[in-house]
Amino acid sequence: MSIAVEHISKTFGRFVALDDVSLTVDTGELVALLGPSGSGKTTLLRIIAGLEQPDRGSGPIRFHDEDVAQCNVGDRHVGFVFQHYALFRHMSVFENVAFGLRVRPRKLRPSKAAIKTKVHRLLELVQLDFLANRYPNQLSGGQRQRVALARALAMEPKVLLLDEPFGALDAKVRQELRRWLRRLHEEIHVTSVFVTHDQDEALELADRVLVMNAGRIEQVGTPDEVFHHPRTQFVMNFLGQVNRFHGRLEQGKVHFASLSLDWPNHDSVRTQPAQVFVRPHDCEVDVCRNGHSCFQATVTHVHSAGPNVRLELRAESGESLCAEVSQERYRELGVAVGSQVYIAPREVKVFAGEAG
Amino acid sequence: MQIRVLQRSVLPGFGLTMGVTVFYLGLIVLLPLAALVLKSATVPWQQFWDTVCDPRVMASYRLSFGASLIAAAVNAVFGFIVAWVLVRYSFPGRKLVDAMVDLPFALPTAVSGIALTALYAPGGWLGRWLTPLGIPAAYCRLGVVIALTFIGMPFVVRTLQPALEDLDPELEEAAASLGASRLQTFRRVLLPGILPALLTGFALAFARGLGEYGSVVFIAGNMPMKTEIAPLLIITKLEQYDYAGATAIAVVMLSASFLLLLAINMLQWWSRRHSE
Repeated sequence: MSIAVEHISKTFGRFVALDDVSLTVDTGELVALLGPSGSGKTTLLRIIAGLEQPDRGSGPIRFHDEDVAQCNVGDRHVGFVFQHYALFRHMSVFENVAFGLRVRPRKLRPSKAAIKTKVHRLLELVQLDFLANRYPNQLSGGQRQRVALARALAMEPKVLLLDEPFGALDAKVRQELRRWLRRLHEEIHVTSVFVTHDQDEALELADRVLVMNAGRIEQVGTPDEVFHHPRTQFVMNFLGQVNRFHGRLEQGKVHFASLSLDWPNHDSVRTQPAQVFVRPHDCEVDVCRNGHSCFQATVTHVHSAGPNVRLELRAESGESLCAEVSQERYRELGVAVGSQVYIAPREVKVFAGEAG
Repeated sequence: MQIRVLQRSVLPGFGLTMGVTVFYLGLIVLLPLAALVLKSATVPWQQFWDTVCDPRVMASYRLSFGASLIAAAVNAVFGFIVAWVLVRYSFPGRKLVDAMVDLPFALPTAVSGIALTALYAPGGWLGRWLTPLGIPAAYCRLGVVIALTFIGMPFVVRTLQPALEDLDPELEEAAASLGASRLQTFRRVLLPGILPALLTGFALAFARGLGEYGSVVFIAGNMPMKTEIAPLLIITKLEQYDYAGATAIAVVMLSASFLLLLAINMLQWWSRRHSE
């Protein structure tokens, strides 16, 4: 089941939550809506589900070429998983999962035995069959979220929508559930859209990532595309750690932090302000000038706990930045707080214009 | 029996607070009730039985308990709607409506009784329209129910409000997304969530109705066997210096209400067993 929404806008009072957003999701795809809070990602998800109505004048919402914009949430057959699980507290795990089957009109309702078989199969799928008779308040957060997922899957949804599914869980459980959800998706292949503000989650889990900011879509692409080829300053900034320099473009060169690099893409004679981005792991650190074009900086802080060592630096031109080197390289360099080092950017991204 | 402190608190003083609790409850609640029971115990058993089984007394019990139950039930339904509107919607004047809910608490009951009587009496603003329809509201059993409904309404609204505020709207959305109809969502998801609070409100309104005297005597008409409530009979007996008879009626009322409230509490405990 594919999803296509076109020209969706949504305003709450004066606040513009979504500004003319269009999106397509192919059958069986797993798409992440990624953005900071207030970017409109949850609103978009809720509009797809039918929990929220788009503004008048918005385009159609198509599920497999059928416009469902006028259908209410119950008729859209979407499985919706809430951030805070929204489990029914007075029902056991079994009853929660069976809910979607038991509320069907009598004619469409499966028999008691069929419901029982199905619920147990789903609980096996989410590896919780042994907890069928427990109540939600007796489960851990990760278990509750898996029950919520099983409940959503029970009605055999054509589309699965997840709103910050792992947002309320701690880091370790998040990682486990993330991998588990990826495997589950490979198994059942239902078209899925999930909302997250966690870039790692989006990049690791999704087939495609949709980066949102201030009610607009900044970029859509595979995790690789959006990470390595960001199209806007926002995407560059939002995905991963990054150092930003205010520089200028001038006659085929970019100037920043006392450096000048060739920038053939820019051939205008006119001088233009530019934003220069360098990722910490693209900053080569050395204790002497080694022939590359580099600039001088002072080490202000060292974080050595972790797989890599992060050096916080102050460039001689005054900007603070951050560089990442391997533990091995760190020992080789023998730097400490106060050391003078030379930074040679391996890869830079330049966006013409003022900071955005 | 072992005393178990459910949760260690950073504030010490289980012994002291428990002592105060027992003493306070003993002084304020148990002592007067014990005096009541002791007083009625001075009455010979046969006389006690005759007083209690007097048809006029039995009729007053039926009216008191019946009207209180009906009024509490009416409040459970409409109080729920009021609480729902106050919690879920914001509209101009909401604060004002919210404050109005407490009025029956604050008004001297005699004042509300006179006001209700003036309103529902055959010549009153509402009575004028009801009487030709064949619905006499004042000076009949309906009047008793009206007065008790008025008195009990705040109990239901005030106990339901926090429960409804607690109820996550996501639960309704979840039910709707799973294909539940509005009625199913209400019956299977909403109602079980607020049932404990609803029962509390019902029990409070009911208990208040049983003890209510001031507002009812004006609108009821107080006809023996018809519109005479038990508290009125007690007052009547007291005025005739029949203390033994008065306490006998009171003890039966007390036991019956205790049993009813206990039953409601059990029901509440049962409905709350899985909530956090």
